[in-house]
Amino acid sequence: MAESTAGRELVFDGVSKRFDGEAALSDVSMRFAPGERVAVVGPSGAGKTTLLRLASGALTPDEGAITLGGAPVSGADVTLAYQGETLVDRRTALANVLSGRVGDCSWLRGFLEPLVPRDPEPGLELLDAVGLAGKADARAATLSAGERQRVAFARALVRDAPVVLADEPTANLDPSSRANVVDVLDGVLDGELLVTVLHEVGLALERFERIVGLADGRVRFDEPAAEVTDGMLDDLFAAGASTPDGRRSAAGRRQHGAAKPTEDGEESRTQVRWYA
Amino acid sequence: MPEERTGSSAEAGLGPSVAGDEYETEPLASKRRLTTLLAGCLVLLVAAWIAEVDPMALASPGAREQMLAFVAEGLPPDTSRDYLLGRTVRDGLLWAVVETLAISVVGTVLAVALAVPLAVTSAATVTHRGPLYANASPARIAAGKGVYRVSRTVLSFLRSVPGIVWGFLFVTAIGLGPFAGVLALAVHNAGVLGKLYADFLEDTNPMTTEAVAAGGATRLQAVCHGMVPQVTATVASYTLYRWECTIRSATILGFVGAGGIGYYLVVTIQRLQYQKLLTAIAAVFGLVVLSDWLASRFRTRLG
Repeated sequence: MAESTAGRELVFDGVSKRFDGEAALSDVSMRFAPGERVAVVGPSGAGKTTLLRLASGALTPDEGAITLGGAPVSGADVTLAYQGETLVDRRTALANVLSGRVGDCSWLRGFLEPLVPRDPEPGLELLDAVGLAGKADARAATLSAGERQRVAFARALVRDAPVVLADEPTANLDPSSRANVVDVLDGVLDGELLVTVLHEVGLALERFERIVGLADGRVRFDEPAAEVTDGMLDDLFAAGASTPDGRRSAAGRRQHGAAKPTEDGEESRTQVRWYA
Repeated sequence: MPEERTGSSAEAGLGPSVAGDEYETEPLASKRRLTTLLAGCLVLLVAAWIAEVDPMALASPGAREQMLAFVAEGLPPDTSRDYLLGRTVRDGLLWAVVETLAISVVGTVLAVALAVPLAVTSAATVTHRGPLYANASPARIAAGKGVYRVSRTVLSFLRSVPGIVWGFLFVTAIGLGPFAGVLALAVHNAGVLGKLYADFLEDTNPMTTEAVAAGGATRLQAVCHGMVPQVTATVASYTLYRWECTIRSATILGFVGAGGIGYYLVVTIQRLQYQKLLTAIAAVFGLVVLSDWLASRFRTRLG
């Protein structure tokens, strides 16, 4: 599938999204080329996760359009790696990975799949690629936060889509595993476009070529990593100054491991609220 | 991480006290708690008055005498072979115990079979709400809501009619015997279990379901792979608990002729055979202890 869709651009054209009348994204326009590696940064509540969920087709925009190679994005082209905490605790790592491609099964097959998994090969390969070959049969509940995140990657990548999105892959991880998770992503990607939301600006600047700054649902900057200045970061996080995150200096933010653990909690609660 | 997992319930239940800076709201919350407590006491007093609660009635000399007489006449319990095994085993007290156990097992399995489909159509997260319906048309959501309401109403009806009343209905329809008891337990408990299962399905992590749905899964597939595995453990444990409850219900189904040990309870009371009654009560006690033990064995194996 990757070949047939190679060379297609992912385009956001005037995209807006509201939740309960509150704007989560306002008039966002961006273009992403195949093979690019992009990090989206910004304060909590900036609309970063909404951006990804719109691109993956989990949500539809209220205004504007998201296209891939000129056609509206479909679930088949885009895969979103959710956070590790969205794994099904009681199922094995392998079963969780294989649940990522359950859409390819027939109606009946999909029904039986939890009981009689078919063709576990792609799942096992990916678990091997993220360094968890030995844990295929371990229940997700027994895995560490970093391992869960890697299983969540494998679940997203098992679909073989040309566009890979990742939502806060470093959330809930200790500083040493954060860089490791980015290494794992680098290792398993093969020419796909990668757009990831990152809390950690330092890691983003160091490991990604293009940085998109998002605050209050608007794109504040969209620059190569080398051209992102402290001033730009200060402005970005000042826009979300109601959060503790917004009050930290750009210099502090550039360091790894400076993120406060509570931010992640805030983010998840917001996600739950969207369905309440 | 546990913080995030409990996020949804904290959000739903605690209201203002989980928000950011809540020092101002704190006294208000405790005031509300006091009001709730006082209102609760008031409700209890009114309920006790309506239920004609009178502790003195228990302490009256007449009551004490009657109860002592009852116990005295019941001792020693009747353990004659004729009473326990009967003439053909099938007409003895022990057979009634076995029959009660059988009614509860078959009744519970049948209840689960009825409850599962009803629970699926009674869970808002399956029919019309949450990540599976983020892009659904208003007509689809309205249809889902319709199914949800009808299905919830059916469940309420099934469980609002007590098991013994269902037993009476089925005895009238298909005649005396344990099968009427099985149907009675199945129908009433389908209502109870269906509601529990549906509530569990509604309480699953929506992001997990969305993550599976994002893999191109149909709604049914997302339910099977994303939602159901989140609840299986809770479902198994509550089903076991309901099975324990059906054993206790099955002991009184005999009152209306729907099989089991209840027949002995009611007949010995009517004939004032207190020695036989005491044996029957002991048998029920043994049955409940046995089911407790079995259920806890199963529960440890569920892990």
